[in-house]
Amino acid sequence: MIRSYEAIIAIAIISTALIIFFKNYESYGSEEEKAKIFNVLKRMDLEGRLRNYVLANNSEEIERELSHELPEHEFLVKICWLECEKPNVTESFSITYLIAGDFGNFNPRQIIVYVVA
Amino acid sequence: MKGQAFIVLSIFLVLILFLVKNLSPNLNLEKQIEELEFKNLKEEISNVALFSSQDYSNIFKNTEDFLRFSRNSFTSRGKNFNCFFVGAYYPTIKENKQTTLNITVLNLLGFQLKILNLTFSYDNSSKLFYSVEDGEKIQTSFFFNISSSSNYELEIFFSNYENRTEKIKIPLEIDKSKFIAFFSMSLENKIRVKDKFSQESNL
Repeated sequence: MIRSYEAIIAIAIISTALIIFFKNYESYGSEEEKAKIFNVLKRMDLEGRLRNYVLANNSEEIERELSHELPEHEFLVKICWLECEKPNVTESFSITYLIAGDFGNFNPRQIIVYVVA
Repeated sequence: MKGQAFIVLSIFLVLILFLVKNLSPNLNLEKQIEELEFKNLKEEISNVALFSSQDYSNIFKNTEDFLRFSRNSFTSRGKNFNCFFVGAYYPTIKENKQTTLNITVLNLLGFQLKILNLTFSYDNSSKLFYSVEDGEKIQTSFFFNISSSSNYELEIFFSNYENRTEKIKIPLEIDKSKFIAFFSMSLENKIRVKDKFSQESNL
């Protein structure tokens, strides 16, 4: 009987560890996806399009380019300054890219990309 | 004794799981994201001077605004962004004419600086401040009068949990106006990334 208690405790310890382990493992995919999305935004920035879209408040064009590069996801992009309204969608995860404006036009903005679940 | 072996074995297994977790690429990917965000931030901070070229009188304010904006953004995402910013600006220097070196120090380190001391190597004059709160900005100035271009240093000493000294190169050039900025910053979530860098802009 005592051995059964100890076995139950052992199972509980392992189960807890497995839950923690797999919970973290789930975020593995999203971390990789976050890096991919970030790099697409970076490329759009280096090619000179991102800031134009942002300063024109054209989030649709950013969504379109992201969907073209990463068709496996559905994106929702919000462009905002300090307070960013959260969209009414179920998101898997989101990433944020900051810009300070453009040449001669200091205008900080957050670009928040929501990946719709 | 055999019953206890179950518990010992389970702890051993948990230890193995812990090691596997920490050796997994997940941590590297998280680090990669933090580094990408940090790099994005550094590049944009460097861009502020460039983007303020329409009106250089706003260069201090814009840098401060962008740092506060960034901190607000990271805080809303549960990340901790801390920064220590020192900006130095001088208008066009004329030979043998007194010129002002304007200094702004912004403490976004997340704690109070008990002592902040600025020393300008031109004449070793110092400015001492006490109890600089997190989020507080200090503005002061030094004066100089030079006959030829030369490099000087602004030494910043501050103390809280530990004493820290930073030295910023201040190149004084005849017929030039410059903005020199120094940033020491860190971004912390599960992983901490930090860096310090200086930037010099001809205005």
